[in-house]
Amino acid sequence: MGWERRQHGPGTGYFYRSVRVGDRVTKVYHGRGQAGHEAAAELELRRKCRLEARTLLQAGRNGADGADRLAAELREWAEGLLGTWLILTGHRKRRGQWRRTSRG
Amino acid sequence: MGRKPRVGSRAWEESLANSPTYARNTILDLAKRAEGGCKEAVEKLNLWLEKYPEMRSLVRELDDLATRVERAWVERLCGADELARKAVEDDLAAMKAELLGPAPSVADKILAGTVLVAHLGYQRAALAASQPTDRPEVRAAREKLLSVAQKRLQDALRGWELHAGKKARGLHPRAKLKLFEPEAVA
Repeated sequence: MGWERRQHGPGTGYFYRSVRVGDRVTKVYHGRGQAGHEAAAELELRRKCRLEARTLLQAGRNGADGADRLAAELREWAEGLLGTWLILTGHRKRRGQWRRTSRG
Repeated sequence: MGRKPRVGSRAWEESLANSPTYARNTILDLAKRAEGGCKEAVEKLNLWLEKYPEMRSLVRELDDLATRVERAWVERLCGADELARKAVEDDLAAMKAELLGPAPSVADKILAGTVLVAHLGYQRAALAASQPTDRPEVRAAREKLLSVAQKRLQDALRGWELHAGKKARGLHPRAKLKLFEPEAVA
């Protein structure tokens, strides 16, 4: 995908876009003129969008900075302390639900 | 300077309980295993906490953690905007007063802290999702982050409600543990 040069073609080359049709990948010709440049610009924009979206999701998932990491640590502690408190007061977890089984 | 206790000795074992990292790993590991239904872990957790009810350094560290997380999130949300910072801090103080009451334990502070931070995270995600964009991929990513933040807020509230509800019914651990004891009001 991209600008492809041909032996006897122009120096800039011709713009092709790869498209999947069923289980085959075929190239769609966009030429070297305005249509080629527009297709290239559109693809570049889509690539940037995908990258931006991926970066956003990764940052949200992994904890982008100190605030996220601290929040994850706090969540871990909250879960641990809540579990400890419930166990010490006679609860057990059954099928995702805390049930009181004894007097603690 | 005192000599370091020999590894494996009783004094060494006692010194471990004062290490916040060791106490952290022990409690979290045993709690996770106990939650998963391991009876041995339940017994060990009970014994360990009865043996070391104080854990002052860990309590101090957790107290500090709750404050640090809150500060970091206010900073992240407001940056250098002093007016916004004041508004968010007032909002948090009101929420905290409502959740915690006059003499909270460290565990209460941590649980309330997760609610506050999840609330701030949700506000941030909602603000990002409301920003206009003509890129569908970016919009989808923001909406996904918003639903993650919403789930975190729900989980934090559920945890808080479970704990507060049981406490209101008079439940408390038999042993007096610093982690779960209300702090003395100054």
